Amino acid sequence: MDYSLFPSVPVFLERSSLDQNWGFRLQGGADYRFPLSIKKVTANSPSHNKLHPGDGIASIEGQDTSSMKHEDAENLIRNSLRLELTLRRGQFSPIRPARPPIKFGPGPQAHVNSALYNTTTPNNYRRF
Amino acid sequence: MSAYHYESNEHNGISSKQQRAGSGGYSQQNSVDEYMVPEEEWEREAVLDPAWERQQKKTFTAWCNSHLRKVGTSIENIEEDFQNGLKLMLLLEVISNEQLPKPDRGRMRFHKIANVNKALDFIASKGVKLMVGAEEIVDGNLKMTLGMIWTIILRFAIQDISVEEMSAKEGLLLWCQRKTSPYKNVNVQNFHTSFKDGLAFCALIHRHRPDLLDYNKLTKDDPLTNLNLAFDIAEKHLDIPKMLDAEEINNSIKADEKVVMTYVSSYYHAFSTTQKAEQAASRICKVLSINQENEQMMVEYEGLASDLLEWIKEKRPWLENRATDNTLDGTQAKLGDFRDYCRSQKPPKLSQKAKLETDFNTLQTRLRLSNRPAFTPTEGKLIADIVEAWKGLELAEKGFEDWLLRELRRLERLDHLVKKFQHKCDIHEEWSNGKIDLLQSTDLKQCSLNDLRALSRRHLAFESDLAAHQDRVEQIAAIAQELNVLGYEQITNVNQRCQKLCNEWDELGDLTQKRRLALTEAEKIVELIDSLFLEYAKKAAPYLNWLDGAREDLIDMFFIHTLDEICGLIEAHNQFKATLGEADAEYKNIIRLVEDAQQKCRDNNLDLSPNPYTNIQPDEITSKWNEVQTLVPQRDQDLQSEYAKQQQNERFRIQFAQKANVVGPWIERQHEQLQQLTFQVVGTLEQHQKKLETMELNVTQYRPHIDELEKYNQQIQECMIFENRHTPYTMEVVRVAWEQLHTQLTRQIAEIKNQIYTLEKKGISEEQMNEFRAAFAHFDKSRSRRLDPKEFRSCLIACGYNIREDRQGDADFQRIMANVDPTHTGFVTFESFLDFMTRECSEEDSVDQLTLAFKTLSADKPYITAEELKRELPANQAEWCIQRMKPYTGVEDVPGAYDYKTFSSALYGESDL
Repeated sequence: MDYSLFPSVPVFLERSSLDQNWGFRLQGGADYRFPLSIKKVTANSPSHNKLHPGDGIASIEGQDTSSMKHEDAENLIRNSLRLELTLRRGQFSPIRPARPPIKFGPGPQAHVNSALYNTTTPNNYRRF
Repeated sequence: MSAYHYESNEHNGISSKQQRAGSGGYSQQNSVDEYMVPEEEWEREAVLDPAWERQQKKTFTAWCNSHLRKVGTSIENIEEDFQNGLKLMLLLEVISNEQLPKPDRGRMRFHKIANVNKALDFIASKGVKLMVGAEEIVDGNLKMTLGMIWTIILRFAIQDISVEEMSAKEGLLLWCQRKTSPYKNVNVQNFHTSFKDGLAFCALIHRHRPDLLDYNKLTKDDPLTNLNLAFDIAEKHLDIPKMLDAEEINNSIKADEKVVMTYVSSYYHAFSTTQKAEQAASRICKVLSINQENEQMMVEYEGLASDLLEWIKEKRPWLENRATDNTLDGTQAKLGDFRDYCRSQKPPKLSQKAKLETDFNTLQTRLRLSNRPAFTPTEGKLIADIVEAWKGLELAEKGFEDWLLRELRRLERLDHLVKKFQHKCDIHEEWSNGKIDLLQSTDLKQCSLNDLRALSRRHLAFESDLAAHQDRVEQIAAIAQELNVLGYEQITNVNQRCQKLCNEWDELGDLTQKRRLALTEAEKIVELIDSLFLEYAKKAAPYLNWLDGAREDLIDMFFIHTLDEICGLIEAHNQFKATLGEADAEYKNIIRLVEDAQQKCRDNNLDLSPNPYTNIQPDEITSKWNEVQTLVPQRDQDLQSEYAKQQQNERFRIQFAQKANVVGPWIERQHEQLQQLTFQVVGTLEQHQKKLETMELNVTQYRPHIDELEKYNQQIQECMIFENRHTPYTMEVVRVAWEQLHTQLTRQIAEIKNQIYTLEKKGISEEQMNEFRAAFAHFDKSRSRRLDPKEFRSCLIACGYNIREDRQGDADFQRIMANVDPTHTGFVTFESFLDFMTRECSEEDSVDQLTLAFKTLSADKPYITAEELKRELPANQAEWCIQRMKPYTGVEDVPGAYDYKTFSSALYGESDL
């Protein structure tokens, strides 16, 4: 993956005690075959406005995350009062279609050729 | 039935006249509120029916206490206990779940007024206009206090009951009607007379908790029993305090509808809580059962993988061991073991491997569809590891059979050569025996001239004899050489014997040379020659030599593999037989020479002196000639039986070839058909699956043909047949093609099943599925059934994704790639494409939903107890949760409390930090 496409953002978080939550939900990890990333951020928490859903995590406390397991990342984050992250902004934000898709179906005579109608008419268009 | 009750026909016991006349009263303003039905008016000055006042006082007090007990307090006298406003504020906090301003702590009247005002302001802030003054509450005005409490009940306990956007009262009424409609003798039309006989209360309870009472046993004629039964059960099992008096409800013509509404609303809230809890429990059960099933599948995968890897580990060294024990029997046994391995040990393991692969894919699909993280098998049990190990096995297996056959051939040839070597050596040694002594004899010193001449001639004959033996010695040396090359086990013996033989041969040559010189020297003196003996000697030696050669040829062993070769041998033998007549004539010639000499001696009465020209005795010639004559028919017989054997071999070859030429093309056709089915889905997925399964059945039923072919192949191997020019197919080729067919078919079926599963799980229509398929196929130019990033990008654009040709577009596309190809294979399969296209519509925040469900079960606590889990969930799921949940470590330290939040996110592979 060409990481240069996603701006690297260093982020520094602080909290007053270990009882206070950072206020974000972590997902992914090497063991889950999905990169570590931010799933959700709680309003008015230390993470508010600093982390965003869909941000990829490139490093935690200076450690590269590419082969880090979920639990290891969790332990690194859980047991500190200050947290230094490098994020890839928006790496996993969902993208949705902006306009209706082009139809690849057989066109107007769909009811003749469509597999839905179980006819024996030979297909003259490409199918998977 | 007093006049007192008659009067109460008017609402609230206030005459309609009074109502209309009243101006600036509490009622007009209040009636503006949408949840307040216009009839629900409260006339400040009017007199309240004392019976209704008594009912309201009792009911409202009980209602307030049912909420106040949550904060550990209660009231006894409704008009007194709210006077200072403190409990009033507390009540509002409990029912609204909101915080009110801090109350004033003083005991002075103005403190009380301030507190009551805070409560009234709070009520007003909820959109209710109250015309009651704080002073009236502080003064303990019963009517005004009851009015205020009713407003609170209406706003907080009844207003939120709105079924299909009706007014609060109608909403509650509709709820009662819906719930009681199946019950006989109940017809709820209002909140007074309809509830009088108690059956409506009982029906409401039975509808939600049929375990608490037997409705069929109740009768309309016993209202008191019915009412008391309902009130008792509600208090005992539903935690709703008794708010009504059975006798009073029963005795009044028309009970106060406010008290009945208040009580019924408590039923509504009690049951809606139960219902919510049930929904929450069923949601949790659904989520848990998915995780439990997935866990089960993971355990099965691990077990299967371990078994398979263990088996491969066990088999590999055996296949890799190419050490020979140098015996034919041992090698044959090994070949037998290998056949057993190919036919009965490997096929089930191959199926196991295919099952493992498809199970793995199914599991990952299920995980993806239910938003769970992917499954990573323990170290060394990845699919890639299995495939690697299997490849290793097949590599080890490759050539094993070839090696065995080569080994067999080598051992057989060795056996043949050793025998040939020994035979030739025997003949040669028999000939050379004593020759050296003879050559070294000093006889020529004492000989007469005549004898010398004879000796010279004799030596000449010996020289030609020697030359004639040159070929054989060379053959022996050549055989010894080949035995060395083939690695014969007891080669030292062979080499020693060969060396000794060659040394002797060289010595013979030297000695002959020397003797020749000596004789030539002496020959000048020798003149006398016995002509008859001479002629005999001349003929006898080559003839004897021919005889030796013929004897050797006649018992020469053959080592052949084709009919052509045996025909050649028979032909050669026939040619040899054709010369026998000539040989017989020569034999008679030679014998006649001897007989002539004998005759001459007899004629002249002389003793026959030994033939000075040769040592060859006529007896020897005769016996060897006889031997040759017996050997000829024996040879005939040997050749004939070999001919028969070769004919049989040819029949076996043809038998195998005919079968292979049917089976081979059949498998090829199946491959073609499968290839077609892989690229084209015609009809529904289920029909397609059926087609594939039919094909699988056909393939399975074809198995006996393969077994038959294996049988012919075994026959061929047992007969040591190595080539077969009647068919291009070998057993190994057929086996591999068969196994491939089987594997691909299984994989194809599993893929289709996964697509069907996806279809059901995501609720996509067949039509949509076909559209995705068509879009994918359109861009899959290479028909490789996967898209490279460039193709995938075009496909996405075609599907409506706005991916621009710039940096932003690249970034967007990279993000999508990371999603559909998390392991960076560089390709997008149809399955992940489908998953991506449908993920957007089914995505939901599952963790939050699950957390919410647990929150409902735990009655809004941030933790849940083992008892709650056991009460709300089926036993096995409760146990499953208890084993996996961590103890709750929140602000409140509660023993036996579990942390359901962390548990919920962990189920989806996420964690809240």
